Amino acid sequence: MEARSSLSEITQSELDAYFTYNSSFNSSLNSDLHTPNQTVDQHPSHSNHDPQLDQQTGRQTASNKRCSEPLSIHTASSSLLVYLGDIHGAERAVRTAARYAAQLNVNWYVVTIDHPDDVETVGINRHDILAVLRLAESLGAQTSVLFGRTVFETLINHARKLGCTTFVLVRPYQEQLTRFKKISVAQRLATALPEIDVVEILNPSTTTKIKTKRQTAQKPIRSTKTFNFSSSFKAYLLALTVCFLSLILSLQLQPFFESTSIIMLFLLGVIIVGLNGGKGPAALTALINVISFDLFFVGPRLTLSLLDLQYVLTFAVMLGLGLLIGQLTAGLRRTAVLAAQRESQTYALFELTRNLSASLTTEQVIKIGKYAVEQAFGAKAEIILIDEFGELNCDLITEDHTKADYLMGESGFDLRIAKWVLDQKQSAGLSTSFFRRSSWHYIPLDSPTEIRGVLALQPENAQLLHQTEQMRHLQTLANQIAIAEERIHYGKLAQQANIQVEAQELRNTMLSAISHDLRTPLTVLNSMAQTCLSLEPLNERQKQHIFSMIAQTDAITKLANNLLEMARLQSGTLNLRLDWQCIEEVIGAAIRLVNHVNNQEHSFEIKTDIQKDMPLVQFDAVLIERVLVNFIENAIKYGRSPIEIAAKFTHDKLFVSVRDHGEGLPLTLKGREQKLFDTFTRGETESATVGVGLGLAIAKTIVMAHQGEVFAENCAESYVENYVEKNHVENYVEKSAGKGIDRSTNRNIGKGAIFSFSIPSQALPISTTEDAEYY
Amino acid sequence: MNLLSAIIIEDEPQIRRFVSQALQQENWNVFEAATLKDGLIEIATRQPDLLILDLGLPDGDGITLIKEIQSWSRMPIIVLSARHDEQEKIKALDAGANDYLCKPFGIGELLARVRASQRKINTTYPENTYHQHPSYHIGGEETPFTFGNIHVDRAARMIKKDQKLVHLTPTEYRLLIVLIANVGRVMTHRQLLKEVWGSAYAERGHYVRIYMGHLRQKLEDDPSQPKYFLTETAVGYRLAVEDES
Repeated sequence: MEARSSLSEITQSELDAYFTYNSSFNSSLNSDLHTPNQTVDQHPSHSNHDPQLDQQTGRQTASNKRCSEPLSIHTASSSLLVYLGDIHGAERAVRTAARYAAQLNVNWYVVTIDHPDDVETVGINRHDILAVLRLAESLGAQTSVLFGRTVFETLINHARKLGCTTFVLVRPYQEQLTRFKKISVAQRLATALPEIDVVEILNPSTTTKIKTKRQTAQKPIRSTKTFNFSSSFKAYLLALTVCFLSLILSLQLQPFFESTSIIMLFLLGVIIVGLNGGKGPAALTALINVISFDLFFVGPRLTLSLLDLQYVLTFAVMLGLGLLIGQLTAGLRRTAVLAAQRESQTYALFELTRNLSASLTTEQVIKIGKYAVEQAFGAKAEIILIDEFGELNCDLITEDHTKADYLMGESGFDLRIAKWVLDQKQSAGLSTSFFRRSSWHYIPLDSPTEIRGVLALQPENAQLLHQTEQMRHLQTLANQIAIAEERIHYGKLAQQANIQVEAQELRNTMLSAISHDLRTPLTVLNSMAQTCLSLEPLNERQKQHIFSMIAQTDAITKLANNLLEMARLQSGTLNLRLDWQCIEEVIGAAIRLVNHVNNQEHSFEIKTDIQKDMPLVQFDAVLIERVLVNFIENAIKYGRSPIEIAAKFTHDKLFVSVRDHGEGLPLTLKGREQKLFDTFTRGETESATVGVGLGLAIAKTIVMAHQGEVFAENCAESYVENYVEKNHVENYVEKSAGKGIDRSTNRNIGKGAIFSFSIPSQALPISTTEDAEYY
Repeated sequence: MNLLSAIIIEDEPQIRRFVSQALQQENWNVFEAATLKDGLIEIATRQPDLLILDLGLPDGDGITLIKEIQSWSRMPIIVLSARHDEQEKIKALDAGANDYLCKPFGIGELLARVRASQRKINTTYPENTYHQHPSYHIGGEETPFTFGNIHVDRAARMIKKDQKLVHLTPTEYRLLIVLIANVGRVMTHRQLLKEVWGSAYAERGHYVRIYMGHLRQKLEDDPSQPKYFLTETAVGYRLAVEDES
């Protein structure tokens, strides 16, 4: 191809890349994208397209490329720019562009252009286009609504600014092209931007077109029309009045002035109407003026015929001038109105931003935001923010409406719609596609991280919301409010975190100080007693005293340890040091610790039953060891030998149980066994056994921190069913219960208590494939 | 008699006194210091055979002292700590301490740790005549080593339990040898990983757990209630060859 052979090297390689992509497009997707640098049409259903046109455009752009210096094609990354001029085919264009962008791995932008004329027109189409823009945004595009008088200049400027390399736009209808003999947008763009590829996307088929039209017709457009009609009627009335007045005045002035001067008066009328009424009335005024000038000032009077043919030129110029002036002044007026509107919007936005930046609390944000929206739209507005649980919080609704009012829906406000908006992350209610019967318009307060709440407004004038400008303004206000709220939210979080850290530090300092101050004297006491023992000779009584001293210091030590442990566990968040652990090892360590502390006071037989090929399980070894130690100590304190410890891993849960063969839990506790795990609760209220009921509470706290559960039950017959019911783990229970009978040498199975815990975890199987060689 | 000397750095006078009494009864020559600064001077002048160090001293962190001493002395260090924070213990051990004791501790415990620390000296300085338990004496690398019913013949690479041959994989064997070389002493997970697997594996704590499990399965009578291969929960392992009371 001519174009390819003549391109510079870099462009060539880029094009090659494109061609590679294209071939895959063609084979896999039967895509609309054809060759770059050409306006393309490839859809099989479109048989009557003009191949000559395509060819011509291609050659034209190619030749342009050759002679002109590329502006931005050498920028490192290429990008796609999609222009949506009309709703027809817009969605398709966006989806296609998204596909291309994903395959080419480039950024893509979607723009639509607002004309100044659109400010007054009803924006149903606009609304749909904005919806498509949102779709594009959700597909990963950067979208923008441009503002400009002419589509082409705006587009071209924007394309240059973004440095985009490919233009995607929807091809206008075929019949439109042939009917008006227009040059297509694509062609014009290709001419203006020779360095940019222009890709035309097929318009959806005629059936879709009709459908869309019907849909559009269904939209509540009637009220808008009457509204426009009444206002334009006034304008035309004004036109007629001005015509009449200027005629009267001219007739009065006729004796004193030349008719050429009187023309000026008529032109003045056109300007006045243009300024106040718009284009149509201005044109009407121009026409009426020409006719009345002919009738009353050019002879023969009161007829349209002319004596002097030179007046033909006068009329023609007068008409032309009138029309032109009318258009210009009307345009001027529109721009002025628009500018004023924008200015007020900008001011409102500025005001809001300034106020919000000074706000410190959520309530302030709501108040300021509400005020701003109400001022801007002359509407009743509500802002409902989410609380820390992500739910809409009605308590923050301002005081002039009670919560019940809202729930009853007296004001027409519906919390359910607000919830829907929050969940769906799109606006609903009035002048949207969802819940449009509602008199409120709901839009989500979308901040960078999440939806912060819902802004609802009930405008006096529903038409307001149909205007793109206004919608965008509302959107901006909502964004500002959301961002302010987010700032406050994170400010709060940071503050809380700060406080937490400080509290944690304080606590740690205090705890380590206390533990140091408690343990040091205990150590001294204990070791001194031990030293005494070695001071021979001692009689039996002295020895016994010393032994009980040691035992008592041990008891105090244990108590102090438990209290400190509890204080540490309950004070704020517990940091788990999760690691892959072997439960067998931890059980072993716990047993050793118990034996060590217990000083073989009572001889307790401890048996273990650990599932074969037990995988490694994730937990905090120190803490779980603590749980086991507490369970075992509990069993030693209240139960009888032997103690059985069973461990099993199943259903992604680790089950460990400690069983003794004592009397079991007291009957008074039946049904509320979990009470045992509460702080300072003991089976027996007053007993000779040392302890304050902290051990099990500590165990529970630790297991809960592992997202696990603790159980305490009597080893009665119902145990099996209970356990199965609770855990749906048949194997484990049967096995451990069976073992219970075997090992306890047929002792009554109904006796004894079982304390068990389960923690959920993943399993790391122990594989021994390595190390084949044996010694 | 050539007495071994020990230095105690501890700010609590009561604890200092009873530790030194206990050691003196065991024929140690004991020097005391209350602060890190004094302790450092004592260490430099006395060149002791043992250091007992409290981690929470008024004038600084004991761990920095351990690190400093490591560069010029190979004496064993036993750390005393009121803190029940395992990370602190691991830090001290990784810094070069040989063992640790948590307050409150008993004299029996202390003396057992002291004896264990001296075993290392025996291997390093064979001329030393200090023997607590001759049967556990670890001579050169190739001497057979016996604990309980387990006999390890390092020259022949043979391990027997109750006179029966036990098969170990290379990794298990290396782990056992490292533990024997540091008998009585706490080895942190990191230290074991470095010695057995290499420093690239220093963060894979579960390797040690798996292989310790294997060793226990093969060598212990009841693997879930080990006598020799003891777990120091969240810190590491200790090969214990005597009854620690």
